[in-house]
Amino acid sequence: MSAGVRPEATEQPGTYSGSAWDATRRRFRRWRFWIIVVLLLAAAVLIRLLATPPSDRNDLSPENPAPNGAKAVAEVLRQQGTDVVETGTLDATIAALDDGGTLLFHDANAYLDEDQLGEVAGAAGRLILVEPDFRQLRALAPGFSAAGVVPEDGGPLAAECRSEDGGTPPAAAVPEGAGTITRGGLAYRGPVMCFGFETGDRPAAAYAAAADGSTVVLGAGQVLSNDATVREGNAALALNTLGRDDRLVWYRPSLADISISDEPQSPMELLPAWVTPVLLWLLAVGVLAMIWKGRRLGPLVEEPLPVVVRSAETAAGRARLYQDSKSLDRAAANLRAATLTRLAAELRLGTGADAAAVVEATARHLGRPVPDLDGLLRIFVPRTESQLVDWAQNLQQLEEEVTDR
Amino acid sequence: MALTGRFVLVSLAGAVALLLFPSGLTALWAACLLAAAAAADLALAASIRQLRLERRVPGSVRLTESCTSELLVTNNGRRRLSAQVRDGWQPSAGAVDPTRHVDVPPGERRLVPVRLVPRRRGDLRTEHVTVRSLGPLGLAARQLTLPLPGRLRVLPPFHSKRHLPSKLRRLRELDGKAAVQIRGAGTEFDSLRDYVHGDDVRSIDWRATARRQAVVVRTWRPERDRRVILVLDTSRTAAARIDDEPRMDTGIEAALLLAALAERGGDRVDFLAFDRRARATVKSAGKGNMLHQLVNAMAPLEPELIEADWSQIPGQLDAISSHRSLVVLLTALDSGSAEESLLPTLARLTAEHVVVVASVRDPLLDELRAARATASETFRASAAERALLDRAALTAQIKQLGAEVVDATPHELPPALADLYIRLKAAGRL
Repeated sequence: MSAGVRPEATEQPGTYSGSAWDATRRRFRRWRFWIIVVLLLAAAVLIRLLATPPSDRNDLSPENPAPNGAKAVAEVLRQQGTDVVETGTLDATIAALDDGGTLLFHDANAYLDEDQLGEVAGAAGRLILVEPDFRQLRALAPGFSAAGVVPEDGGPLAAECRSEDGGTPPAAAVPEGAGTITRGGLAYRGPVMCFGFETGDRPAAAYAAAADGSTVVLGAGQVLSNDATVREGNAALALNTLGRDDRLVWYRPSLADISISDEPQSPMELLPAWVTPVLLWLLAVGVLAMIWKGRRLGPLVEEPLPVVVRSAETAAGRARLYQDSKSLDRAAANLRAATLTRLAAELRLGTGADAAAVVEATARHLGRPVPDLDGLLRIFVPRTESQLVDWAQNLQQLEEEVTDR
Repeated sequence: MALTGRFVLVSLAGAVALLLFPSGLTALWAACLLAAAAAADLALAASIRQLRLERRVPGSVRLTESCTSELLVTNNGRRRLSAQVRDGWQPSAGAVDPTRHVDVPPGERRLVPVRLVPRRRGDLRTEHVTVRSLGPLGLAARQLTLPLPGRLRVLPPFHSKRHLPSKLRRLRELDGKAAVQIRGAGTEFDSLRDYVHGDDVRSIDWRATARRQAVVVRTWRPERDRRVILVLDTSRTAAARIDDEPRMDTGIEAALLLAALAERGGDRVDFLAFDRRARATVKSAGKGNMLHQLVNAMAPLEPELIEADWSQIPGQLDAISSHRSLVVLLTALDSGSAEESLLPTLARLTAEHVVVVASVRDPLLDELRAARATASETFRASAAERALLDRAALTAQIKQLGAEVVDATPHELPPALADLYIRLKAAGRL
């Protein structure tokens, strides 16, 4: 080091060696780990997508094996010889009903409008409505009315079929075999009602049927679901109701049934033709602008920062320790010792002076009685934080008095 | 490769085309056209691989001063280079305009000046130069980062220089160059001369007066060619920041002022930066300007996060000089670290040398001590009092061992140390 610094100006004027390929390889090496991680993740997602086919997860769908599905009932019906035809559109349903059979209509999302419901009513022979809403009831089962929700409190519902007019219900309308079913679903009123529950004046039930059994409104949709069908007499009700004919058309309207023709005209169609392409183009230009601004001129440069600690940090840390552990004694002792030391120096008592001597000299200097100062400087011990603050300020004041005089 | 703002503007024109002929075909055509233009521009841009770059960096610069680093760009290719050039100096080098535009015709060379206003002491570095070579249309550019390391040494600012004239004047007063001699100023007999009004009567040499028929006084001068060894502590305590300045930087300021003063006073100055091993040394026997060597040795020093090993100091000092010297230890008087290692060593050092312990006092402690408005503040005041008491106890111990202590705030430390040196010299204790 004694030779001083080497003159930097004559040091090898650096010439560049390296190529774009080198730079690319360097960059690849730096990002190698993350590239591998992303590739692995992508592969995992891809495998997962390919391994599991898209499945039906809808409520009471005959293809859904989940607890909320109705695949169990459908399969058992098939085993018992009933031809279960599942349809998703109105056209397919009408085509399927050409061969006759029962129609199970379940439209929880109310996709069909009035006209389409009318077509359904015209096409069906025997009709089973699962949890229909007002509109569907009015169009498909005019003699029935909705009666809200089956109350949750209470045990299983017993069959106890009865006619609306109080007489004995005809056999065609009564489901066989099911003694009780689990409580739940929606309540309806119709010519024949089974599985009723305690109501006020007018009876209502989870199962309603026309007198000839040609229309059944099944409010207790849960009897079809995979998880509930095994309980109580749910299975009996489901199989007997659905399996009366050889052929069952299970119709669940889908988005394809929504008629677009009478949709209100969308505001987008009122715009001129050029708006969409120009907007898309501007979006692309925005991406280009991002690329333009995002391209940095060379890599980031690191700044090796030195370690720097505030010197008074240790004192602050010690102060927090004092406060957290409520070390009033220790804090007071520090303040006392410091004040006595400074007073001794101010009054030229030398380094070896004891506290009593300092108190005496201070009293003489200020012309104040010794006991006062003795109390302040030697005897008083603060018990609370507020006492400590007051006392510390008094000490400071005393020091100022001594210095000023 | 990189796109330019012009490319984005031109691509906006595509929107106009779509406005007139709104169809997917128009969009395709516009995109193809743009891509073709960009590709042609890229192909026609000057090759960066054909460039030769050199950098000229000034050897050293004082902190707070500015300098210019020059970048020479030689175009060995066949196409004209129009490029943005960015020199990758680290941020604290304070490059004012790191990105410059440069035009170099084929076979020629251009100079790109980069003004640097360093904000930190030490060796500041740049590792690379990035060149973005624009095509003739200015739509797209090739870009490459070329490794080209460079280093700028930033010397300590030596703010304490302003104290030097006044301290030198006091030193000259000792030296017998001033008109009025003060008895006791120095111990080496210098010469006899006639009494002038104002001389101390006690310095009259009566024997010579009897011979000469006129009143003759003896003059003394301070000793010369004594040794001053500055030991700068670079251990963890030097990293502490006091008044916006690490303790080490204050130590460097004080050491520089003392070194400058001692050199003018005719003494020989050695410097040693030490924690567990010597980080830097400057020998008085070296050639050239001592102060220049000193600042260069100090420039790259950084505090190390290790405990200083003072027990090695006597051996290090023996290696520098076997004579009695003034040893100035620029360190911290924090209780704990000093007591274990410094005090036992001091006892050995004071037997052989005149020892001065110089330490920076934190003015914040005095502020904390005085603030007692709330409970938190009072506890803080108490902790500050504790720190100051510990410091006072340590100072007393060091004085007991026969060493001098200079304990002053960052601004006051350099002049206080210089004053102590003058006092010791006047008392003939060197």
